[in-house]
Amino acid sequence: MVRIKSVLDILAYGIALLGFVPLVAYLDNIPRFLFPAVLLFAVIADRRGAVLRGHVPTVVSILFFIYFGIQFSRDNLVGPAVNLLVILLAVRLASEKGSRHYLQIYALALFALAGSSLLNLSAAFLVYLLLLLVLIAVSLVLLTFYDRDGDTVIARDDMVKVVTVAASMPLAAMPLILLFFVILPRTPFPLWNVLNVSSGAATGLSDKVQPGAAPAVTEVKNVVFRADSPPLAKNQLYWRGIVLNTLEGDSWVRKPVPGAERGIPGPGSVVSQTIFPEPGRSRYLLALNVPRHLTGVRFATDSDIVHTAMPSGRRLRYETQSVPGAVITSRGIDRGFYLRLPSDLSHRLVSLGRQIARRGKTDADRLDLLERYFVDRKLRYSTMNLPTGSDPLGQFLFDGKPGHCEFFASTLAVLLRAADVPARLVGGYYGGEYNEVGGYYVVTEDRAHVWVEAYLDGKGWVMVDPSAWAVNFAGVEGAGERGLNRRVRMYLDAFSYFWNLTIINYDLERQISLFNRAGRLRHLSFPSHLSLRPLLFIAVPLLVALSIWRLYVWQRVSREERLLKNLFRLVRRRYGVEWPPDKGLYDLARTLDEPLITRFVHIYGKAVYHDRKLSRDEYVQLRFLLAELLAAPH
Amino acid sequence: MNLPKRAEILTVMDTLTGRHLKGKDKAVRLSLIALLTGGHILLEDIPGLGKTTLALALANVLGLSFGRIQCTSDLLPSDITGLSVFNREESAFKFIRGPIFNSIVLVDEVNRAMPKTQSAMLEAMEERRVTVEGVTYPLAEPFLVIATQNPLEQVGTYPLPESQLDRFTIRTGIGYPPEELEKSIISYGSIRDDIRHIEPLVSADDILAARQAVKEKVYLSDKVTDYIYAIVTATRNHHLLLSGISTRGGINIAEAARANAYLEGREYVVPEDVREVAVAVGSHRLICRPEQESINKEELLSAILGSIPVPLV
Repeated sequence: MVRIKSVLDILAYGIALLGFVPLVAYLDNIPRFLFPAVLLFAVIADRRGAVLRGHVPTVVSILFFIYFGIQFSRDNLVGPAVNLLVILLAVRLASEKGSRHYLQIYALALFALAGSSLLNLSAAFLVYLLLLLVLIAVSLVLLTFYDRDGDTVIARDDMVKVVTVAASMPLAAMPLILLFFVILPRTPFPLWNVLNVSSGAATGLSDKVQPGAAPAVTEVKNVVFRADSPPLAKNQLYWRGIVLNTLEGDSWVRKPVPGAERGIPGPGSVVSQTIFPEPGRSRYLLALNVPRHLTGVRFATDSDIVHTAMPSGRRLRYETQSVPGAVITSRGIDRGFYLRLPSDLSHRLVSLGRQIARRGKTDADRLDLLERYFVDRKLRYSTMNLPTGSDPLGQFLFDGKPGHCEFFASTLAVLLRAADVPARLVGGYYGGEYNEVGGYYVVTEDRAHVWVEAYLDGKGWVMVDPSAWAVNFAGVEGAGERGLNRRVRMYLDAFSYFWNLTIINYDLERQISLFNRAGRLRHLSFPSHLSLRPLLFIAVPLLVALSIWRLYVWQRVSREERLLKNLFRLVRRRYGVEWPPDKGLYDLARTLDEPLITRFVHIYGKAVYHDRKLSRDEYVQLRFLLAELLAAPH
Repeated sequence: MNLPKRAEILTVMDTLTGRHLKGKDKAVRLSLIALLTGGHILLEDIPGLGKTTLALALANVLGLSFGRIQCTSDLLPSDITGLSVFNREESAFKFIRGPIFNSIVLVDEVNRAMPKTQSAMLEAMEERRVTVEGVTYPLAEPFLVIATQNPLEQVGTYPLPESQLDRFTIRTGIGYPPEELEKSIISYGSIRDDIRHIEPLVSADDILAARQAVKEKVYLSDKVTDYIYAIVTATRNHHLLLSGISTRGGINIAEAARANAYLEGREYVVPEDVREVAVAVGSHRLICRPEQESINKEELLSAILGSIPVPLV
């Protein structure tokens, strides 16, 4: 036969040890030596059934609380806290243990273990944690027995069965725990969505620009990336992704950059950003045009400043430094490569290009002439009713058809090349919605954009966005949502952003740097009268008063009251009698005429109406009677 | 169970209620409680319900001397206490003891005696001694007065003032016996003769020992004391009452509760003991407001008891 309480005690020792051991190396001498001593004392005391009762443990706890509380400071938070936790754990072990106190031991041990993780990053933490969880789960199951009847005695076989079942619960849950808490948040992609990525044709960044392929384009509002950034002027918000340098037939594609070209962004003010791309299929790393520097991700750079991510299983985040609107100085470009045009190009365009080449002497002049020509044509920007067919660019430029950015950029690049100015297309995104709550830009798929870079001799690659020459360009950038709707959306998005940031992209190094940054807080100047010490002087007496008050309240719920509460609950359940407060227990016994209740009342009344507390023995008997009454057939 | 003489007292009670005084359990029990506390009892009921039979049976079964006083308006104090008579042979006055010198005294129709006589008798009850012509005579021990009065009769009576009522530990009615019992009583006729032949079951010493046990062996806890005090205070503060239970009333409740616990075989008083005796001990001490005279004081006290929570912890 095994007493539930003995098993619970042993488990409590184990749990307390699991809280203490990881901390040993970091404790002050007092708790370090006190705890094992107290544990030993508790083991012996529990065996003999003699434990500390009454106020002594509370007073000891309060004294230690004050002792360690005084040591608290901004620079020394964890040390006193873990010391105090261990002391409280020791006090709890040594003093009387009701079911509430067992729960306190479990909580304190968990806190202590959590505290150790602040001091030590050893992987042993996981072992301790798993052990602790199993022990606590078993203890909680046993505690339900104990709470029902503190002196339950169970046959050894039954006990083994109970413990096995109780232990198997956390063990069975372990794979699920691992799945939910370790694997899922760390996948770089949402598991469910990645299985059925939509493959529809829509706007977005692609490595092929083919104006005239479709009469209309659908716009998708999916988020492409978020950029943690200070707010910027609208005309700076060009996000560089890919450079398309070759026109093949009617589509622009990317070919390897020939020769020893080496592009370097020119001087200018630098903007630092952190980019959080949504998981997708594009390998190109987007950055504010023109990026000078990328960190935080493995990537390959081409000489025309196109960054390609190395494959990695993780969700990406990287820091960029960009010079908005900078000219890219390039040495040794292959002019012929950037002037190449397909032979079957529309004659109208080629002849226009030649004309421009004749009229303008320098590359810059020719670009100016083309801009004036575009503006004079009063071109309209639209994603509907697009020209298709054999000569979409000609229809767009000469026949008054509307076009979108691909038409503008393609046309300009073709004309530039025809006018003997090296040109290429740059694909990326334009604009973005600034989220003031989170301090970042949200860029969605429908903001995909293509513009032109023209190589002006003596300057370098100059960015030109011919879409801006459309008569209706100002109106294209729609008014968007305003007011409450937008605010709500902003908050929701900010929430998901921070979720990604702190949970999905959880990164130990980043957490540590966060801690370090938090440490830097101490350089903040506090007003001198707001130092921590007076606060402590207020808080400690307050806490002491609070504890005394709690103690008083707890003391008032005596064992006798608990027993009576249980008795009346049983009576209510069995007999449906709500016993009135003006009638006594002996009346109850007489009325119900139930031998168990009569015995209960007799034992109880004998103590209570003799003005003495129930003895341990009587208490046990009464608990036993209540349990019997509960089990007795009705 | 360490309560001396309890078995004997219980035998007395069982004998009386089981054989001779069927249906008068409550009155018998209260009489015994009064006896055990050293108090007196006032039986208030209409004539012919066995008040005298009860007193007689009690006296016989307890083996105590019995005296009877039939009160009338011309009854003098000396008719109760006794008086000195000149003895010619000895040429001296000799004190002839009155009926009050018996252990059990039945005072019938106490409200018919004139106030002077009433007060003399009540004083003797309280003091347990009689002083006649400068000489003090102690009364018998144990000493139990069973007074009766007819609450319905008003003409030619001198109702006991509340201050006098306060001296009775217990006031109770007897009530009609249950139907079957009453039929058998009717068919058998009076049992007065049988009663005369009841053998005494206990001695005066036994009763004194029992009384001692009630006083010393039965524990009255602070909680129950608080409960009694709460009852007493509640009667004092009740809006229908002019004055509530006196301190003596409180003492009597405690004593009677002890006696009740003794009869129950407990060496400690529980609130139920108090509840059981409180109405019999307390109700006649309540004084209603003039406009509330018609209120039944027993029911009122029961209601007050119902409003006071019993100490359980």
